[in-house]
Amino acid sequence: MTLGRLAAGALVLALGPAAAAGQSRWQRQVSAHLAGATATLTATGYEPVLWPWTGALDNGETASDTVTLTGGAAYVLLGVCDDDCAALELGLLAANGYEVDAARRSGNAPIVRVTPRETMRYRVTIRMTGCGMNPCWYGLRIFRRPTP
Amino acid sequence: MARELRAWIAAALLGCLVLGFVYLPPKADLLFGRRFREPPPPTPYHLRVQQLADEWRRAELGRRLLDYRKRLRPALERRRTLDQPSPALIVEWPDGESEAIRHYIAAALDSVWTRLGLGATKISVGIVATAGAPNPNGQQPSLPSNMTEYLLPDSSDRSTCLVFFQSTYWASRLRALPRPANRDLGFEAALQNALGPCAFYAAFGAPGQDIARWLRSRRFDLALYPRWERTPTTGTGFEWLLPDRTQPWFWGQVYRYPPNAIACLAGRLENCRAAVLSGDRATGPSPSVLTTERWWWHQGLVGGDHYLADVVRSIGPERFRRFWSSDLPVDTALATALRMPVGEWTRGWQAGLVPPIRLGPSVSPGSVTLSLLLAAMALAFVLRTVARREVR
Repeated sequence: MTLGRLAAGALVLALGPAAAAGQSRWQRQVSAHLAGATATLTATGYEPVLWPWTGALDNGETASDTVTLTGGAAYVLLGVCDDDCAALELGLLAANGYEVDAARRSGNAPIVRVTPRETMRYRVTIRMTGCGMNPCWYGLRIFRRPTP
Repeated sequence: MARELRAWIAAALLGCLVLGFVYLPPKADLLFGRRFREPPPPTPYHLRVQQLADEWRRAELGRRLLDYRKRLRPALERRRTLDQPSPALIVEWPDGESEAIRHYIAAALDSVWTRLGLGATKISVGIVATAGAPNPNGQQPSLPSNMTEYLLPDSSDRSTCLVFFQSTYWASRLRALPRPANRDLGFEAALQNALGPCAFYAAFGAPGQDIARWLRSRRFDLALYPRWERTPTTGTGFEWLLPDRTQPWFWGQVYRYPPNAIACLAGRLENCRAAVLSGDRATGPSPSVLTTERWWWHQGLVGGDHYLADVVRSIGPERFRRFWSSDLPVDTALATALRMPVGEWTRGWQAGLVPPIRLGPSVSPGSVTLSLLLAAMALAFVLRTVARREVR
């Protein structure tokens, strides 16, 4: 296990209890799902790039933000949502608005894998499609596999 | 022409003249204007001042509610973290009794929360209970002393629904209670009703987009009272519509409702459907501040304030939750949840609340009997006269 993976694992463990403070039961569910996914992905060589992006959406609503991805690096965009949520969609759009990749009908943990050709800003969209009781909390985290 | 006939014609003409003088303008205005004096119509200046005052009140209420939500945030976050049921509470009482009153209201709120079957909820409820304070600045328009206002969850805070409950009546009644005070069931009922749409948000989450637009366009008139725990013996609150329907005030009360609501009272299926679904095609943004001032003026259905609470009671909370958060159009979602056409269910519900009225022209049985009696008497008189007629 590399030093980077150890550091990432330690970060997840350290952030767990701290993130739970001031959170509702549903936000804690999202944190727990994110922590589990982070542990799985870090074990396969990925490392989290940014802090988790979290929020709440009603059914049919979309949230978006921009992120700069480095060309040539392998990225995983992972979305999770609380236990009332059955479906979530992820999309990655280039600066010109074209959809680079998307995960639809992937249940409540959609994943987008992408290796951009060039470094540029992308728009990440997250859409709530299967929330049983509005609003549903979601979390998005981006992971990168370091280039050897 | 016989002298007698002339007298009759003159009397009839005189009668017509008198009636015309009394009932036709301009003399009639003078005569009735004195008896039923109407206030002078407002001038454009008055109308403009009233409009500005209303706008100021709306803005002031919105500002106050946002301020209270900000103040309640730490308490709400603490409750969310600890999974504490029941709403967070701010009590604003002017006379140093705040703490005792706060405890009393908090205990009543706990009882109401339990009665509604609510625990730690996804959308938290915050309540501001105030006794009502005099307007500090005489230059500003006065705010109503009794009001219940809501700040519904919005994009800046999706998980908080705020209730602003101000009642001078309950304030004076709570002040008069002995300490320690016993439970006041009347106050608990008032508090439960005051939770209004926020209780629906707490129990079932935020409504789906179409349903939210529909309800907001109707000012939540179908979800004002969260009385889904009501038993059939509790009473409908519409007992006043049951007694003697021949009284003029009865029809006065009935005809203050919109036409669809009145037709629904008479058991007309299509109108029941229309009364429930009006506003379901509303578009555009809707404000998150909901005021219930004079809500009875805007009621689209007799007893509509607890229509959706009765739907919950009828179909159960799980099916209601599916309807509430549905993305389907309102009519489809509601009919699916009810498992029957909306009009049909509503007609049955309305008849259970108030026995159907009869609309259209009709004659009362007493009048019919009297007419028949008079006709029979006239006939008997004529027959008797004819029988005794002597031809010379």
